Amino acid sequence: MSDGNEKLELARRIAVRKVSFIRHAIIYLVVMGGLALINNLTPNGGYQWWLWPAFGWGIGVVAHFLSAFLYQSGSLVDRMTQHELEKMDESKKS
Amino acid sequence: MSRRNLSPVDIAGITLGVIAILAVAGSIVGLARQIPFGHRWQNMDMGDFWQGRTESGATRAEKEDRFPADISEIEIRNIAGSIDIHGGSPDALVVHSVRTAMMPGALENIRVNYERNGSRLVMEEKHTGGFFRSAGTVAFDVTVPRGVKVIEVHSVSGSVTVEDVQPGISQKLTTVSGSISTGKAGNLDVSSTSGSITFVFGGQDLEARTVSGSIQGKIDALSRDGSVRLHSVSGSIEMDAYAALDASVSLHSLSGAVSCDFPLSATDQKRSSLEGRIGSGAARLEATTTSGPITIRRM
Repeated sequence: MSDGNEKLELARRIAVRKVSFIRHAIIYLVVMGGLALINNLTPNGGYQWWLWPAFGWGIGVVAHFLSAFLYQSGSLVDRMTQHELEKMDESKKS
Repeated sequence: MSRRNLSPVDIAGITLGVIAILAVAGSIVGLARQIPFGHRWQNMDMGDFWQGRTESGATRAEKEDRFPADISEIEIRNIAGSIDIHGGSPDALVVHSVRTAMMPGALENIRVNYERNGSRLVMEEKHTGGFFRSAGTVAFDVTVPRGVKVIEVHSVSGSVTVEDVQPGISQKLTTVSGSISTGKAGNLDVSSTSGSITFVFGGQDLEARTVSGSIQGKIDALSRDGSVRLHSVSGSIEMDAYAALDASVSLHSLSGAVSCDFPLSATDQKRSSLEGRIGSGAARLEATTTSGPITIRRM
């Protein structure tokens, strides 16, 4: 695969991750809004049970966010590889 | 990622990500405030805090209201709390109401409203407050004097119990999912969507309806021109009647079995339907189900 194709593939993967996260977050907010409505429109003694799925699913959404926007398609691995290569070069020189 | 490289998708994604982080943090705070140990973080006097809380962690407030004994009709409306009505009060109608909520603040949004119209007293739970100050429940324990002739109860999911009242009181009891149990009713009109119905009847007209709950009752007496109508869709109907019952009988089920202990002159008798007469057939006894069995027993 050429360098141009690799870049295109990487850019596409990043774009898919970001759009996928946006879709996930919107579904999360819509569903939680619905659950909050149901919770508060029905008599239940004031207990906010919808906070439990908001918390549990929310952790998953936050993890998806971090993965899509902070850890982008192996960039950490790429940076570590570069770092290791630099160390190897330095040790050769010395 | 520099600011100028941010596309609209990036901005939308980061905004949603921040909202998700805030939602998780908010849900943690909300849950912590909701469960009892969460209140330890709020410098509260724990003695005051635990006082008035049920074992499940709910907050409750009890109140007793008394009304003169000249009230002859009562009507009670609530949503989820139980409603218990019993006799035995010599000189007053005593209403013991218990408001319950999971959050201490939610109690302020629940109150019991009384409205007196002549000899009729209507008591009803009312809810106020904002959207997210959600509702609690009100349970009623009502002791009625001898002069009460009519009892009307409407509840959504609370159970309804009427016991030890004077015989002959006319009762109308309805719930959606709560069970209903009543003893010594005069005229009785009782209906529940999914709750079970249990009754003891001795009067002129009885009507009991349920969709999926069962109907179980006892008839101590029935006027010669009286009628008993029992209807269930998928629940069973079981009824014990006094030995001298004198009624024309019509029992029908679409797929359930029908049985009757009384000696009767049958005009139509099949596995799932029975038409006939017990004695001279003075009163009227009808029971219908779609899939539940029907059993009439002689006491």
